[in-house]
Amino acid sequence: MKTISRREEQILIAIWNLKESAYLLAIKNHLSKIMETDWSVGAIHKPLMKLEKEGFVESYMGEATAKRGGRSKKIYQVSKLGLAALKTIKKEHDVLWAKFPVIKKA
Amino acid sequence: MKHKKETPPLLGEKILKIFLPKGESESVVGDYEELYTEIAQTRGKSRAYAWYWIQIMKSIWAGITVHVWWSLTMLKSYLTIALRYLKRHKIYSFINISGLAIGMACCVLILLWINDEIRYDRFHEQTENLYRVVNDLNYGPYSQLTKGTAYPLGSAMKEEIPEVRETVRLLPTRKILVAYGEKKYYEENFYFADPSLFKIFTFPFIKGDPDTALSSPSSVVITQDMASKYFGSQNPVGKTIQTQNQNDYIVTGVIENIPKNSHLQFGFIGSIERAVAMGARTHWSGWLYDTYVLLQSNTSFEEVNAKLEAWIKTKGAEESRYYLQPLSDVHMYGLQGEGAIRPLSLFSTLALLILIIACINYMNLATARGGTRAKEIGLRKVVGAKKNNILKQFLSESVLFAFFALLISLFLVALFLPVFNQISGKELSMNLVQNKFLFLGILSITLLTGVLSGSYPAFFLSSFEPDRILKGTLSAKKIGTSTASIRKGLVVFQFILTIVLIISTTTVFRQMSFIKNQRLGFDKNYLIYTQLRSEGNLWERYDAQKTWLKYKTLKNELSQNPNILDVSSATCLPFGSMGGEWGQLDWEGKDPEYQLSMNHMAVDAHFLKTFQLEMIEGRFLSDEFPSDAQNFILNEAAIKATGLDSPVGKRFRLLDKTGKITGVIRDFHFAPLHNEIEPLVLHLMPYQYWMYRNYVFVRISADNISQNIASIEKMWDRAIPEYPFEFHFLDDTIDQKYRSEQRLEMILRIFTFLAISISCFGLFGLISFTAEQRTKEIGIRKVLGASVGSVVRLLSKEFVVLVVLANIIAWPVAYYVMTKWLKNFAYRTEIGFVTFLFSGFLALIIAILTVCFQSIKAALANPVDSLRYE
Repeated sequence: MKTISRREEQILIAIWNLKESAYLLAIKNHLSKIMETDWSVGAIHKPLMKLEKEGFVESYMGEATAKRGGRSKKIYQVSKLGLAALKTIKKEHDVLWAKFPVIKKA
Repeated sequence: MKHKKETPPLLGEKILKIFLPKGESESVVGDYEELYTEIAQTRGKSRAYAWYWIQIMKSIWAGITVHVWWSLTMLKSYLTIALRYLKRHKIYSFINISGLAIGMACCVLILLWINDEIRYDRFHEQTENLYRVVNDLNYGPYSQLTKGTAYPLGSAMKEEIPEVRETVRLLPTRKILVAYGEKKYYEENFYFADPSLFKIFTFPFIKGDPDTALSSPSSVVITQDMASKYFGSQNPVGKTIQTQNQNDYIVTGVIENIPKNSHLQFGFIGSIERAVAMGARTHWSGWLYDTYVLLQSNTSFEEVNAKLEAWIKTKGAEESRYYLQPLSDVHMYGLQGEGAIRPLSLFSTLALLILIIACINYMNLATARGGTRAKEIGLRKVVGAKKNNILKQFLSESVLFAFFALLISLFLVALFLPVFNQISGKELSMNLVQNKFLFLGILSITLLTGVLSGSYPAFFLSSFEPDRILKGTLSAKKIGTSTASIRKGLVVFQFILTIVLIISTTTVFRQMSFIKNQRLGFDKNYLIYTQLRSEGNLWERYDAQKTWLKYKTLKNELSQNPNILDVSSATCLPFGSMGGEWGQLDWEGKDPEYQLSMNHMAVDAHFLKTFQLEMIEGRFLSDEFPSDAQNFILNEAAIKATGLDSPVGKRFRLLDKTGKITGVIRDFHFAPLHNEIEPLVLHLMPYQYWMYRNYVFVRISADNISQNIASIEKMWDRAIPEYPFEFHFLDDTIDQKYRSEQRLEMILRIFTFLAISISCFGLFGLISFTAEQRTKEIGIRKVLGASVGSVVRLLSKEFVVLVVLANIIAWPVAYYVMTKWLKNFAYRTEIGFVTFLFSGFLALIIAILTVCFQSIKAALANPVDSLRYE
C-alpha cells in the first residue's frame, strides 16, 4: 500500500482547503502562514509531483495572468484516492489524539 | 499603484527550464515569475534578482549532486579497485599494459603516417576544383595508363569545354645540368609550364610578378632553395642561368619552396614555349605533357569525364582516352592504385592485427582470472549493483588499462619515430596537440582498445549470480574453466596470425635472396655507368659529331689504364626503359598478320665483352666488318618469338635498317625479375645517335675500386671538362628496383617479431595462472612420486596442442597469401614445405620455451611449501 508522509499529508489537506485556487504558490503561501516558516518552492513541488504520480491529486491548467508572464497556473485538486487517504488519516488521527488536551493560545 | 513591469532574467528562465521535468516547466516557471514579481514589489528589484539567481544555482547544484556526483563517486571506486588490482598482480598488469602499449604504438605510428598522407596537395586554394588528366593509352600492342598527355589537349579543353575554367601543361625533364657562373649542378626538378600555372596552383611569389613571370620564352622561375643554392645572398631576378651548356634563361621570379606534401616538386620552371621551340613534340601523339585542369566550382568531374570521351574522338586522337582525376587522389592512389594507399593499407592491417593480438591477451587473462574477482562482484551485486553497473566497472577498468598503455605507447612512438621514418622514407613528427585529427584519432584508438579488450570480460564477469558465488557453489576454478574453450580459441587465433606472419616473412626473405642470387646472364658487379651530358630533355638535340668525338677521346684515355677492363656505350640502360617497336619490324618468313613487339637497343661492338654476355650462335657485331652497321643480334626469347630456325644469316629489318642476323645471345635479364625475359634485338649504334642521350658503361677491375674511380674522374675532367663527372654502379641501380619489396621484408620482420613477442606474453600469463591455480595438485602429484618431467608435460601439453592446431589452420592461409604475392614475379622461388615446417617449428619452439620456463618453475617447487598450510 502506498504510504503518505507527513509533508505529503500537509500538502494534500492544503489543496483540499484551497479548493479551486490550489496552485503551487498558493499552497506554499497557505502552508507557510500556518506553519509560520517560509517554505521554498522546491519543498512543495517535489512532494506534489510524487502525489500526482501516485494518483492522490489530479491537475488541470488554469488561467494565465500578466503577473506570471502570461503563463498558466497548474491547479491541483484532491482525487478520490486522495480523499480516501485523507479520511483514513483523519479517523486514525482523531482516535489517536482524542485524550490529548488542547492547548489554547492566550 | 503604478509600477513598471518587472520580469525575471531571461537566461535564468531558460536554465530553469532545463532542470524542470517536461510537463511541469510551463507552470513552475510561471510560479517563479509570480514570486519574483512579488519580491520585486515588496523588497526591491535587486533583491528579487538575487533571489532568482540563488534559486537557479540551487537547482543546478541539486542536478549535479543527483546525476553527476554519484556516478563520479562510483567511477572513483571502480578506478581505485582497478589500481589496487593492478598493483597486486604485477605480472598480469605488465603483460596486459605492455602488449596493449606495443599494439597501440603501432596504430599511433600508422595514424601519424595517414595524417601525413591525407594532407597531400591540400594547400592549394582551389584544391577542390583541381584535377589531373590521366591518359588511357592504347597503341599497337601496347596499352598503359599514363599522366603523359598531348600538347594540344590543354588549350583545346579550355576553349571547347565550358566547365573547364583554366588548364596548365607541365613538361617534366630528366636530369639536367644547370650552371650559374662556376656553379654547376645536375638538377632533376626542372619543369616547363604554361603561365597559367600560378593562376591554378598556389605557389606564392617572393620576388617577381606571377602574371608576367613566364610570359617570355627565355624566362625561368626558381624556388627559394634554388635561389640560395646558385645565387647566395644576391638578388636572382634578372640573372642568367644556363642549362646543358647551351640554353640561357633569365630568372624572372622567386617562389616560396614547394611544401613537402605536394606531389609536384619543382626547383625551376621555364616557359613551355621554350621547350616547344627546342623541339618538344606538339601533335596529338606526343604524350610528354602533364595536364592539370581547374573546373568551374560546383561542377562534377564525372560529367566532364563523360563528355571528354566523345569529345576526344572529334580531335582524331584515337589512341587516347582521357579522364580527370581529383588532385587529392593523385598522391593517394597514383594512376592505378600504386600510390600511398598500397603500403598504407598493408601496414594499417598489420598494425591492427598486432593490436588485436594484444587485446586477446587482455581478454584471456581477464576471463581466466575472473574467479579471483568473483567475491567482489557477488558482494557488489548483493549491495545493489545491477548487471549494468558491473559492466560499467569492468569497461572502465579496461579503458583505464588502455590509457596507461597509451602513455607508454606515446613514449615508444617518440623513441621509434626516427627508425620508422627511415623505413617509410617519411619525415613524420609527433605534433599531437594542435592537430585535431590526430588527437581524436588517438583518443578513439585508446577507447576502441579499451572497449574491444574489455567488452567480453565485462559481459562475462557481470553475468555472475551472486547467490551462487557467495554460497560457494561457483568456485573460482569453475569460473576459470567455464570460459576455457573460448580462451583456447583466441590463443589459436593469435598463433594463426603469428604463424602466417612468420611464413610470409620467410617467403619474402627467400624470394629476395632468390633475386639476389639469380644469374642475370651478365656480370652486374664492378660495372659503372655514366652519361656524357646527363639525361637532359627527351626532345632536346645536340651536336652528334662533337659528342661522338668526345666519347672517343674519353674511351681512348680510359683504355690506357690497365684497371679499366672495357668500355662500351648503348642507347638504353638495362633495368631502365628500353626502346620498343612493333610496326617497323620484319624478318625472313614473317607472317604479315603476326604482330610482335620487340625491345631494341643500339650498342657498340664492345657491349658483349663489357657486360660479359654469352653468345650461343654466330658472332657478335664488330667494327671490323663495315656491313655489320646494318646487321643484328637477337636474344633467345626473340628467336623463339619470331620462330626462326637457324637464324644466323637470315634477313632482318628494324626501323630504317635492313641487314642480316649475325648471331644469337643467351637470354639475360634487362628488366626486374617481375617480368619474363622479353625479345630483344641489338644493333650497332651509328655516330648520329650521339645527338640523343646515351649511356657509357665501364667495367673496372675488382681491386682498388675507389682509386679506379678517381682515375676515371681525372680522365673525364680532361676529356669532358664542361660536365661534372657523375656515375652509378649498375648493381646499386638494380637493387633499387626492388625497393618496395625490401621495405616490405623489413616491415614484415618487425611486425612478426612483435606478434611473436605479444602472443608469447599472453601464453606466459596464462600458464603462470594455471600453474598458480594447480599448485596444490602439483604438490600432491610430486608427493605421490611424479617426476618433474611429467609435471612439465602435464602443464604444457594443452598449449602445445593449441599451437599445433594453429599451424594446421595457418598453413593454407599463408600458402594462399604468399602464392598471390609471388605471382608478382615471373622468376620466383618455390614456397617449399620446408618453409612451413620451419615456421611451424619456430612458433612451437618459442611457445614451448615460454610455457616450459613457467611450468618447470612450478614443477621444481618443493611440495612441502605448497601443501604445508592445508
